[in-house]
Amino acid sequence: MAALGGAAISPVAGAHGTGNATSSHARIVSLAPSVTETLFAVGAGRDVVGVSEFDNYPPAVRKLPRVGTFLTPNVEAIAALRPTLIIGLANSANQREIHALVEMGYPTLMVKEDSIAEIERSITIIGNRTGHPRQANKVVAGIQNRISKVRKLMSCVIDRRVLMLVGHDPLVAVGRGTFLDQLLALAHGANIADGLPGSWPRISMEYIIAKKPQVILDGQMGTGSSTPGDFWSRFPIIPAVREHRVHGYPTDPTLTPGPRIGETLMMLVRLIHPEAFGSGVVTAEETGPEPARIATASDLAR
Amino acid sequence: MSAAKFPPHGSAPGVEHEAQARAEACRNLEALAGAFLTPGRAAARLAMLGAAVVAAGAVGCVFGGVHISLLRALTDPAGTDHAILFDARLPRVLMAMAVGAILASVGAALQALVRNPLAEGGILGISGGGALGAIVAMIGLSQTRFADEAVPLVAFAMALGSTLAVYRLALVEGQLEPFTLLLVGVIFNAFWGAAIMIVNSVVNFYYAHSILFWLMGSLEAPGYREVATVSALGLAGFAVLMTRARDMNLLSLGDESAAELGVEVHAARRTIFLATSVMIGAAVSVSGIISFVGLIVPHVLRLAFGADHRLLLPASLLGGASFMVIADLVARAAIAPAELPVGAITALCGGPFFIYMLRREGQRRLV
Amino acid sequence: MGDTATHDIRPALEGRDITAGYGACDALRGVSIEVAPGELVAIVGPNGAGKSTLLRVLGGTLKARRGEVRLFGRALECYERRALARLVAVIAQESTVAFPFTVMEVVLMGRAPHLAPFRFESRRDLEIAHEALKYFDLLELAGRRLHELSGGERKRVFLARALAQEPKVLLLDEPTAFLDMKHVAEVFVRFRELCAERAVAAIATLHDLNAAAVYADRVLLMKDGQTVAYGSAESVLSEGNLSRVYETQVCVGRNPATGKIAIFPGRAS
Repeated sequence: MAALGGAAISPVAGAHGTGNATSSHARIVSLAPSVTETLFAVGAGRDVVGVSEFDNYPPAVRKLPRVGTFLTPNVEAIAALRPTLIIGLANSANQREIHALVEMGYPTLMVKEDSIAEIERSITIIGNRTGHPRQANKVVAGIQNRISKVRKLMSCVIDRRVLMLVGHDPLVAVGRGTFLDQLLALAHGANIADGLPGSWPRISMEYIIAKKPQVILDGQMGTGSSTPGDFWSRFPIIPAVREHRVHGYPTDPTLTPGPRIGETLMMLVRLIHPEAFGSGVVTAEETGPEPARIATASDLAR
Repeated sequence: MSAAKFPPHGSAPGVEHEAQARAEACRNLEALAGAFLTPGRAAARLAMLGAAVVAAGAVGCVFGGVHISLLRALTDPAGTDHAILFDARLPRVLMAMAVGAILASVGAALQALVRNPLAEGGILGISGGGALGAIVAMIGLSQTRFADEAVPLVAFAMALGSTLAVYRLALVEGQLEPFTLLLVGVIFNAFWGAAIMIVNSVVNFYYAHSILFWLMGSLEAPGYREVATVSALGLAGFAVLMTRARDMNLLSLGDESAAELGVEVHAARRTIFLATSVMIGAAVSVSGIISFVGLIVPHVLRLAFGADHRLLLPASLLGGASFMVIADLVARAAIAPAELPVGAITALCGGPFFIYMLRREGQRRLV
Repeated sequence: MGDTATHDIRPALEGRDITAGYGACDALRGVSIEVAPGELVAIVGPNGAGKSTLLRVLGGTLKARRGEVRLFGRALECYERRALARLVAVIAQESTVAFPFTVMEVVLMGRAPHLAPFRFESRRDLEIAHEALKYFDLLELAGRRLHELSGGERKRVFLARALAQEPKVLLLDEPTAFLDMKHVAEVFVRFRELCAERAVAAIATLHDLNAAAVYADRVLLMKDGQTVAYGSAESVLSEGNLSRVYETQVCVGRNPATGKIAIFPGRAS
């Protein structure tokens, strides 16, 4: 497994459990929403006995017991479920709890999801580890399929300057070093926050105005609203505002890494280059199921 | 002591004697000049502080995280520089002035209220309540269309609510005791802080940024309408405070002495407290918790201009405006294009300043 | 001491049968006192006798549970606070000032009851303050901050403030505490002059029995919240009264220089 490289894996310790939990007595605890989604996507869903606080996809997950957030997993709750495998994210904030679980003898698997490649690798690793390698490969293939389709069909499309915001208070943008940044690039969006330090940089309005984004994707606007309020209409000089290209998007599941990033990519393509989509360059069959309804910039008109 | 007799009423010396007495009286008063506040001196100092506000505002508009050309901004209305200056930077500078003015003048008023130069809006638990309200509203209403408008309103309501709660709890037999008020305020602050931490630990980590924003303060992206609302509330509250300026002077002699000099102590306290809470509520609702402004600005001005609140209040208003503009300039330009939270800047100034003040207070014996 | 022609028959301030206290107990029980314009009445007694409490009730700060206080014939409650402040000046025993006001600013605060709500001090106010400063030898200290002064100097500042109020009645709580011998004598001389020239009525609590004997027109001796004796200094400050009240041997003699009675501690028995 170490040969797969890139994804951090903590060693299997102790006598509990073996390298592959293939029996139907497998009891898997997931510490992050993306991991849960992955487990279900590769077919290991029925082995999942515990999930993290905010997991809600697929719907079956809602009935499962919770074991804390991925930043603060609850060691006792996890132990009470007698897991045969614990899967979480390699994140410096929860090292103490993970270490405790390792010391207690539980097999743990930590995966990284900071880039598309790492996400694909983590799906593969999880699939292998839970005894569903073929299904995992299918999921990864599906993602790679979409990506290559988009690449092909968008090869002549010119990049548009794009800003993807997580929230307003403060203005936090999607930055370099995130899988979303890579998806934006694939969707032929030039992320104006690339020059800022960090993965989730705070951005000032002055900077936004100066960088002149042509498309703004605003997570705070969400999906339920039809009138985003006059926050953006105060800045008509921004091309995105002027040309009615300010869109809301649902932060859940868009900001979640995992098996659905292909759909997220399609959504981004549709938002950033709607004409490319509408003119048949990318057709509905190829984009897959439609994500939740999104607010469009025509609602900005007052 | 001198042998002069206290002049009896109704003495009527001759005309020449009177002119002589007048001249002597003038000389006497001149000798005292500088020992007390005159309208002329107040006006001159306020003019100076006003000029400082204008200068700070100009500096705040010219400089920032993104470089703009002032000339282009003023001559080309369709250009980017113009948009940056008038749509992003100027409202932010004006908001900094409004928030700074409010925080500083409220600080001076609260110090008079509790007779302690170490009191401030943050300390009395008002800002904390407002921040908690904002955080809860923001999370509860997130991704709805109401978020941008409702959050400041909820923050404002919570700030007022916590003020009333603190007020009620600090009333001892119908009187607002300064010491009790400070204690209750500190306890409320601890409570709000704990509540905010609890919220932080149970919500999705995507809100961590926003929670920090409210805890550390920020003046980001205000609109002119927000600026106008905050300024209007601030000025209304300030006008009320000014009506009590002389009372604040007398209150520093102690409740009994102030009452003996004709002050309606409880009415004055109530008025001051309510006016300051409206003002702080307005400020916290848009900018989060910004501490130490109400401590630093009044203290420096008291050292420079004296303790008379008839000057100290408006001086704090103007001084706070300048201070905040510069602090915000540092926040947005220091590590541009990234931003520092402005509350961190004021706290960095305030921490050492607070220690310095504690040492001074310790060395100086209060009468 | 002694009658002067400026006496009014009607008392400026009188308290009748006052019962008052803090919390559950009564610190005062049935105490009466009065002072006419031009008079100085001293209240003496051991610690805890209720002297300061009586002063508070007379000044309107503490409400009496029984009995009443009349100022120039009208009940104290009838006076609006500022009107009361124009007539009665109080000098408390201890005063803390929270902020660094100057001596002149503190004395000027005495003019507050006379100032219209939003006016600055007028020339006349400044002159009155100036006179008050001169009266108590504070002119050189006018620009200094209060907290820089010694205890005695601060006391004189508060006395000057009371003077600047131009009151008709002065209520003084230990006015000569912290003052050295020179200033004690001069403060009393000043007050006597004031009482005489301006027909001011003054009540002062004193721990200094000799000062009471010399300067006061009448003396009220208190113990445990009640009146022990009330009248002229000679009649009140007798060996019997004082020994009983202070629970120690007391000798009363005559001061050869002034001709007034003088009190000495006797041998502890």
